Amino acid sequence: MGIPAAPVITSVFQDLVKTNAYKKGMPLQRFTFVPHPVAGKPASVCREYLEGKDPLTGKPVMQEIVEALTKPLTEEEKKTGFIERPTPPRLVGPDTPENLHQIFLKNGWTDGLPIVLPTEGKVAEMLRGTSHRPDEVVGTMRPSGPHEAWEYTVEKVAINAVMAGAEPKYFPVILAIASTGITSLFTSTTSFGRMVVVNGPVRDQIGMNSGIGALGPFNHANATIGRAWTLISRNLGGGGTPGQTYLGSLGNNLNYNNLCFPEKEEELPEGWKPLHVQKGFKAGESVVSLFSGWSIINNGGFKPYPYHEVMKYQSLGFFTSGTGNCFKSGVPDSAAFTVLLDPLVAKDLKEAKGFSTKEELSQWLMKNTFKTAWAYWACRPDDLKKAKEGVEPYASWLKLPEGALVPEPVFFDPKKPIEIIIVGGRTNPFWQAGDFNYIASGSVDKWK
Amino acid sequence: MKSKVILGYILACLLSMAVCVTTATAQGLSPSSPAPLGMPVVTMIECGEGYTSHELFDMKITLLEIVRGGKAWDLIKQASVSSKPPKIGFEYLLARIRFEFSSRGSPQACSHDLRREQMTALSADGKEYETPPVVPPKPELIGILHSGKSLEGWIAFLVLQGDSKALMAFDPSSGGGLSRGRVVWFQLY
Repeated sequence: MGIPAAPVITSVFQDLVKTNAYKKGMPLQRFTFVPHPVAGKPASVCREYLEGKDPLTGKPVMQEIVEALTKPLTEEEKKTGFIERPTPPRLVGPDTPENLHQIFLKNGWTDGLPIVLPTEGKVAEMLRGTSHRPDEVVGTMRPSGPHEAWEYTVEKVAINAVMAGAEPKYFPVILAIASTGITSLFTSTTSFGRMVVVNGPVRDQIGMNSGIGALGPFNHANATIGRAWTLISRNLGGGGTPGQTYLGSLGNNLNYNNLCFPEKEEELPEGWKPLHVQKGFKAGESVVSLFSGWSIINNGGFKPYPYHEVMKYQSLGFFTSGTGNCFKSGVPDSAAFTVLLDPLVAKDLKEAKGFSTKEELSQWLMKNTFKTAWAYWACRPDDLKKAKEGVEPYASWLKLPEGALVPEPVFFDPKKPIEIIIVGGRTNPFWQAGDFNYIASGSVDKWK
Repeated sequence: MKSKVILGYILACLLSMAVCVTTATAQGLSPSSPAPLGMPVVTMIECGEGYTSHELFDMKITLLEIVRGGKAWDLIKQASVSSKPPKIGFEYLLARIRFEFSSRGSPQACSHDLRREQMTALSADGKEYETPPVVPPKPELIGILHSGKSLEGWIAFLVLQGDSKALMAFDPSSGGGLSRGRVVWFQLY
C-alpha cells in the first residue's frame, strides 16, 4: 500500500485492464501499453518495445512510465468511491427492418448471419416458453476469468433466442444453457470451440435430431439452440469483439452453433448410461451438458480395426492441441478427449469387445494410452530433471528410444474422464473424436 | 415497398463499459441501495476458470445482528484479552452474518472460501475503514462454504464514532481462489 505503481500492458488487453480499473473504482488509472505479443519474443525485441512508443497514445513508453510514477494526480484521477454504470435503454428504433438489421450488424450484436429481429411481440411470444418471470436473473457470464461478469435476465435471454431463430418450445433448453454462466466465446489467444449435448425427454418434445446428420445443418432445434448460445455469449456475456474481448488467433467455426445435438439415448447398448445420468441426473430429467475443446476429427471404423485401439492413437493427436499446456513448464499437461460414437460402433464395442459400460471403455482408454518418449519428455520437464538425476522409473525411461512408448498414461486426471456420447444414424460404423472436456450441466426442467 | 416500423430491443451494451443489469437498483446490489438488517441478498457466485470447469452458485447473505460501541468492545474483550481498545474517535462494530450456498447445476464440485478480507466497512461516501486486528466473538465468520451448506458468525469492524450510515461491502472475488461474484452491499445501521 502506498507504493506508486505503473502498470505496463500489451496493447490487446486495453479493454480488459480499463474495465477492471473501472470496476475497482479507478476509471482514470494510468496505463502504459506496449505492442502485443511479448510471449516468445527475445529480450532485444522487448527492449525495443520499451524504448519505442506506446501504440495507443503514441508517447514514448519510458516517458509514460516515469510520468505515471512521478506526475501528481489530477483532481479527476484522485476521485474514488462508488461507480455505478448506467443501464442502457431497453428499446431501439422505431425504424425500418432493413435499417434495424444494419444497426444490429454494425453494433456487433449478431454472429454475422441474418437474425430474426427481436420485436416486443416476438420476445413476448418467446417468453411464453417458460413459466419464469422476464426480470428473473438467469446467470452471470464473462468472456474469461479476469473480465467483468455481466448479469442477465430471462427477458434478455429471450431476445437472443428470438434473434437466433428459436421457437418458444426450445426456450427452456436455451435458458438452461444460459443458467450455467458458461460463455461459448471464451477468450484466449487459442480459439476455443464448445459443444452442447442435450439429454432426456425434451429431445423428442422439441424435435431435435440425434440420428442421420445430427451434427450438421439439418434440424431447426439443433441449429438455433446452439446459435442462441453464441449470441448470448456475445450480447449478454460481454464477449466476442475481436481484438478486445475475443483474442482467438484463428477463430473457431464451431462457434456458429457449438456442435449442438442430443444424445441418441434409444440406441445406447444395454448397460451404457446416458450422459446426464452419468453426471448425476435422473433418466427422466431433461438436461444440457456443455463441453469445451477446439476440434473434431472423423474416423471410419471398418473391420478388422479394433475400434478402441484406433481411438487410443487418435487421442494422442490432441496432446499438443488447445492451450498447449504440454509445453509449458510447471503446468500439468492435462489432455482432454471426447468420443462421439455412431450406435453401430457402440454396439460393436459392447458386443464384440466386451465394454459393458461407457465407463469401462473410458477407463481402458485412460489406462492404455501412452505418449512416445520424445513427447513425454517435452511435456514433463520436471520428470526429465528427475530422470537426469537418476530417479526411477524416469531414469530407465530416459534410455528408451525417442519413438518408444513411455508407460505413463496420457489421461491421468480422474476429474477429467474420457467422455463417450452416442449419436448418429447407423449408416456406417463411424465415430468422431475431439479434444473436448466436460464442463457442467444444467437442468432444462427447472426452466420450463 | 416501405416496411412496417419495427421496435427492436437493445439487448446488450452499446459500449463494452456499459452494464447489462436490469436489477441494479435491487436492494443490496448497489451501494446506493444497501440491504437493511435482516433482508437476505441473493447473489451469484462463479467458480472455475471457464474452460475446464465452471459452475454457478447462489449465495444468500443475511446480516442478522449489529452491535457497536461499548457493548461491541465488551464482547471483543471477552473473545480475546489481547485485543486493544478502539482508536480515539472510533468504535468497534460487530456484525453477525449468515451465508447460505447452493449450486445451480452440476457437478457441484466447487466451494467458496469465505475470508475476512472479502468483507469491508465503508463510510457512506465510499471511504474504506481499516480492518481492526481483533478477534471477534465466537463463532467467527470464516470457513469453506460447500454447496448446500451455510455458515454463520461474527465479524469485527472499526468505524468512526457517530457514523450512522456505514456500509459493508462483501466482495467474493477478494483473496484469490477460483470463486468470484459481484460486490453486494449492506447497511451497518
